[in-house]
Amino acid sequence: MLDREAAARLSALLVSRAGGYLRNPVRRDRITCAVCTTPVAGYELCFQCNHHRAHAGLADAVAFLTYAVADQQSGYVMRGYKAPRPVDEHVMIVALLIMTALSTHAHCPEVLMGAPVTHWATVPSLPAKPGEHPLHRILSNSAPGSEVRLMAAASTQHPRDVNPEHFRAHVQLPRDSHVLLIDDTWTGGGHAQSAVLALRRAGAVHVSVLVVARWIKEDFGENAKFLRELADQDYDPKVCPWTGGSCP
Amino acid sequence: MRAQRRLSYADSMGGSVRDERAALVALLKTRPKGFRWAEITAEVLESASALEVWHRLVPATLVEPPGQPHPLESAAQDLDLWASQGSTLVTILDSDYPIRLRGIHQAPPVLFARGSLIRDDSAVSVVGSRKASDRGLAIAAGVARELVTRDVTVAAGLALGIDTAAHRAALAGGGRTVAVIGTGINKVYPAENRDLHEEIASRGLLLSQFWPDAPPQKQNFLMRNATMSGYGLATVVVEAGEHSGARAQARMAVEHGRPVILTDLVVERNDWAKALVGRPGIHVASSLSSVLDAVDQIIAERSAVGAELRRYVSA
Repeated sequence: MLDREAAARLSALLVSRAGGYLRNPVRRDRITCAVCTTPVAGYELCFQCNHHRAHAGLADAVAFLTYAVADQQSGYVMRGYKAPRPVDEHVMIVALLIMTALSTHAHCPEVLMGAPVTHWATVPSLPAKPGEHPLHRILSNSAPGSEVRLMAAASTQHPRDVNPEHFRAHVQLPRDSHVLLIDDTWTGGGHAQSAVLALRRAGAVHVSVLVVARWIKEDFGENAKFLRELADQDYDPKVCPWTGGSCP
Repeated sequence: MRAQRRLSYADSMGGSVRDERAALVALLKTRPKGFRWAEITAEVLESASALEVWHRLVPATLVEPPGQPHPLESAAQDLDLWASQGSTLVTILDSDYPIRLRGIHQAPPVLFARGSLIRDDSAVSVVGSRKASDRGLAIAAGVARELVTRDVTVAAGLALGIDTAAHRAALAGGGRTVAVIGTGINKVYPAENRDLHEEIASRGLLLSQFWPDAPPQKQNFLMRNATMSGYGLATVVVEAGEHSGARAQARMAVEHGRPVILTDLVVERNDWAKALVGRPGIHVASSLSSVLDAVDQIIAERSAVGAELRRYVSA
């Protein structure tokens, strides 16, 4: 864990290097989805999050660090950091986002669950890909607790569906375990929620999900208008990714 | 006729570098499925092979109407023609593509270059009005001279006024200057800058993202400003009006996460500049020395990020 001064330095660097285009996800009743923060037209949940409710054991809490807009700088960064030849600057921004969130908001999921974080995990690529995932590389020195390694299925018919068979943890977690599951991009949420269900099968009691970016397309629904209203809302790492406002 | 295949796997590409380049040019010229250039760029970056994208998007049976050359074949001929005209083509898949430019979402898929291409060029853009005041011209020249003494490249757009003053001062100081131009690499625009154009090609670098014979067009100049913002470490706006390319570049730089230094001259006279003050990466400078202090601070901050992150993140 970073000391307070180092955390403040990283946070200032994040704002000066990316504050002009990253945007804090908004949590507002019936304006954005209560789970995934995508704009919704008057509903509590977006179509996909509502659909996921058929499954028991979904994430207890989901936090988002930024919106990533397709065809804009934020979307380009989330693709470039894991391109076959990664863009250094993009890896740096994603690392700054994660490091800042893990230091400034480390206790927020613990307060929400009333239980300390005991384990961490990342959502692997689906179907499985060889090599270390860039997100895992960023986290391996800085994530809290001990790692639960999830393995992705070698093949799958419907990778975007919520299905616990998509991932497997080859361990049995102790009682009272609280897993912080980290993913880079949430499009429909199928990957992350499937990984949550796989962690439940391994015995996880609490699963809090930290997602770097909620993927948004400008040309969908009223999204363009929604994003225009955020045009001068530069990124603020103090805004709690778990609540969209002040820390719990 | 096809030149001999040069086998090279240095860029971790599927086929040869030449085949990759031809495939990228063919993709951009034919735009399969109506893909925009930005979409083609994203596909190519994600696949790391333009040939792979070509074969995926263009089924072999769908290609040429009878009597027409195959798009890959005509692209290969274009490559030969451009090479014979004295410009170098560099694509976003090439290892010598400018490193910082690759980081912005408007990174051009292809660049045409004359002069010396440096992958990790530490450059600062100096931009402003074509109709500049004497004070503005003096500031531009002063900033350029000082950048050169710090071994920082001066980038500008080869326009009259501020850009010309910056390019000339950099050359006069024996430094490096890069002109990011808004026309094709074979065009000279504006005509008044013919000599400067040639001098930069021989002593610095001329860079264009447009097809080599592209004429001056309004929207191309804005795209050029995005490229200039991406090429450099930062943008200095010396003097600019309400409807200038410099204004657009300042806005785009904020959207790219690149620092912008506005002179007080710009802030005093423009509401758009006042609105930028306080936003991330915006510096306001009231003198030549404060412009340079801001540049020094930006360069120091860049190395600080790297050092800080290396302490916590395994490379």
